[in-house]
Amino acid sequence: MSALSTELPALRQTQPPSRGRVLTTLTRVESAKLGTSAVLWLGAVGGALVSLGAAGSVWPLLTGSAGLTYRQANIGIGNLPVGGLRIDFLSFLLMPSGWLVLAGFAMLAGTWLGRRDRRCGAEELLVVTPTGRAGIRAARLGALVLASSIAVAFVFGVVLVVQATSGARGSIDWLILLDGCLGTTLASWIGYGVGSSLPAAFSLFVPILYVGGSFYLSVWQATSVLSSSIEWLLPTPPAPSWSAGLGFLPNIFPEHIVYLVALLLLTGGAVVGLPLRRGPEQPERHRVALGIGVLGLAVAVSIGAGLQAKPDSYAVASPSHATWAPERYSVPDYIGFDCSWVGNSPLANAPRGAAPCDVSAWFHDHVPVSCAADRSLSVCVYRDYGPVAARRLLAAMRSQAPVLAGLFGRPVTVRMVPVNASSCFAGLGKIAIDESMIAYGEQFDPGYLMSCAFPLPESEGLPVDDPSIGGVTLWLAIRSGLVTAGAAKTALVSEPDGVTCFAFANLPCDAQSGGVLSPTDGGLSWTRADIRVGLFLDRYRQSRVVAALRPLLPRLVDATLAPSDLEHALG
Amino acid sequence: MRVVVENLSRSFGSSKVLRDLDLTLEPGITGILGPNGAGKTTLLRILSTALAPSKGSIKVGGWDLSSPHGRTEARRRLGYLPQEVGYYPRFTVFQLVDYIAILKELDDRGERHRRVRTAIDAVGLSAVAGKRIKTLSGGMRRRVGIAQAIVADPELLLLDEPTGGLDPEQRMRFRQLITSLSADRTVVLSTHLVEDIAAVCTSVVVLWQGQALFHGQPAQLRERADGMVWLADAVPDSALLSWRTEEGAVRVIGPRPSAAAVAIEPTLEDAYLLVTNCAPTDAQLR
Repeated sequence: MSALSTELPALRQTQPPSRGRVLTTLTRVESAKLGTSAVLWLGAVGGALVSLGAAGSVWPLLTGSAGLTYRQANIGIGNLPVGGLRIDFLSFLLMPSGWLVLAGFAMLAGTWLGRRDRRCGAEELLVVTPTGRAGIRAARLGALVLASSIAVAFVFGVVLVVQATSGARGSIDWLILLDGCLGTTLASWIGYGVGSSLPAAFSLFVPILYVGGSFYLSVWQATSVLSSSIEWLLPTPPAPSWSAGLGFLPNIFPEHIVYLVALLLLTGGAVVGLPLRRGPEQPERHRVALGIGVLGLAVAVSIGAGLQAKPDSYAVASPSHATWAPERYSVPDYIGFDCSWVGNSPLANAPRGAAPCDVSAWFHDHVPVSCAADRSLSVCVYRDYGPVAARRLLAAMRSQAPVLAGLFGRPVTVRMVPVNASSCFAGLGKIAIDESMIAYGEQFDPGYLMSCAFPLPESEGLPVDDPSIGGVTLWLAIRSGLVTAGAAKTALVSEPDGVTCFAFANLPCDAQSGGVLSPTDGGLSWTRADIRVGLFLDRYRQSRVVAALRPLLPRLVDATLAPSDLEHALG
Repeated sequence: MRVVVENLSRSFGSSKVLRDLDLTLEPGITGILGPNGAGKTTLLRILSTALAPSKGSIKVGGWDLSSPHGRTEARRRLGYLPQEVGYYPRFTVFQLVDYIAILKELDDRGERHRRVRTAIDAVGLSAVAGKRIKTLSGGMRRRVGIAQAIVADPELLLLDEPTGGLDPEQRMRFRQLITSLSADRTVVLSTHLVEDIAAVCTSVVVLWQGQALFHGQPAQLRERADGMVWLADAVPDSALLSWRTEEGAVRVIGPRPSAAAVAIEPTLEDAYLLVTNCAPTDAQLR
């Protein structure tokens, strides 16, 4: 030790220090410390990995937008305080979400920070400073805001970047990002409150309980035990964000953000205010903190009640019917949903008499605007999938499209729909795009256009085994380059049992189901009789075959067209 | 900075630790002496605002600690080293002292860092400023505590057992440091080591079961024992305290034990022992 008097000049504050600057500095220091927290980074990396896993399995089901990425990454799809989560309407059981991982670790980081003073025995050192317990806690909550937000942005960014490398063009929806940050912050604040006020065992127990409980409640909700309307009360909006994005559900994000802020006020007020009851703290700060908490509670209850009054996830609330663009079948203004996911519950504003569910009747939502086209076909996907995806789709269909031109049901426009069933009618194709195709470049099902061209008759759910249909589809396959005529001839000679199975790239071929055309199942196989008809048709010019087939199509699709009639028509 | 304590009491449950204590502490170094359980730590915790009194008033530099504003103003002016203090083990020495400096509202980063370095240097820890606290010895951690207490140039410095864990050389340096700091400050030093008091204090308070048995200059305390300390051949019945010295004689505190006993110059420790052994009993206090 050296003599201090000459080296430590007297500190003379000419004016009172700025409390705001002090708290800002403290927040920065605590943030930097949190930034080195292994717990938080473990959560961020784990959250990103899990998010990418979820994204890889179900991702571009919808728009590829930030909203979707958000849902798939489950950033901020919180489960506080009531739990419950529906990741999306097709795969909501993919519960191990990135956000849950992140939020769990954020809560753990909060408990770690909250316990630090007691763990180290440093409380007395801190409470005698002018910043005081309230100021220190406020600054630490601020640090948790920063650290949580950075972690959310990290997870969010990783998912966006990785998906962008697969051709997607995700955009950032700042409201959603904000919502996710607030949800994660809420978890960390609750963790801080737990860590600073409860025994050590709770520090680990509560985050585990939180994540496990959320998971359980989500599955519980998924099995419809829990009312779906409760999901609106979650810290971040649940599944119908896609509908909100499409304009058919009210966008609750602004309200929901207020709701989250209110929950944060409630939590923050309690975390800062309640400990001030003990010790010689400043009563006015105690009152202010608790007042903020009460305000948060009041707003949260108010907004929460409003949110709960919102329609259920799948109920269409807006826009009005007048703005819908119905397009097919017997019900004029028809809108359909996948019944298996809505539990056959009636849609709130569905027209009287309309069938509640029909996956094939997705209205024109005007959202697929990223298009690629050639002379015979136009393909449009949701905006954020981008033109890369549209071009991939077009390329996958290009070989078949000219061949099928003019045939019954062959679409000239293919549009992406957000339901898990493809359909086509009168020149318009609607297609549910398998995310793996866009994300990983897998081949598009070559049977799609054929199935549009030939709406096949079914017998007990299976396509009818009919040599005329088989022959025509083989001819289409040969003409579109899926099968060579030489391969068909070889198969005709070499397959003694009369069943020929052609395997296409990335498509299974099941000889057990030989003799039937099952393009949507991904397998194509033909009998010897089919092959004979197909090779017969292939001897003629394409335009002549199409002209001959056109009047015969009704009989063909009814499976009442004999091969001899085909020969006669061409002969 | 003047500290005025009036009628101060503090109880923990049914145990009364401080009893109607009246004290006035002036600039300079005041040592609080007393046996274990005398209330030294409780008094310092109350002066530091870490603990609220059960009764009584305290004014620190004119600021009334019973008011929130007064407490904040007092906190701006005090440095405190608790008896048992914990640190964040992953913080470096610099980070810890800097952290406390921020809490002490030193919001100018450059100035704050300069002061942090100076305080660390003052306690002789410059060489380990970048080391994490968990790697330091107990004595070094104690010095970190002193550094954080002085970093904001406090007008009132409260040190509870500051030399515990320090080696003799560090204790000597600590005394130099405290002496240099005391020029225009009020330093309150709680200890049971009389030699620390004798070495640096300008004033001493002897606490006994929550009451001040003595408050004055060390020399005045020593004077209390004038004519009450003897060297004798044997232990007398009348002695308040007695023990055998290294030379084989018996040092007696109390009335003259025998005609052959020789009066000797009392030490501060003699006086302290005399005062505390003549103190009223707990029953008498009640």
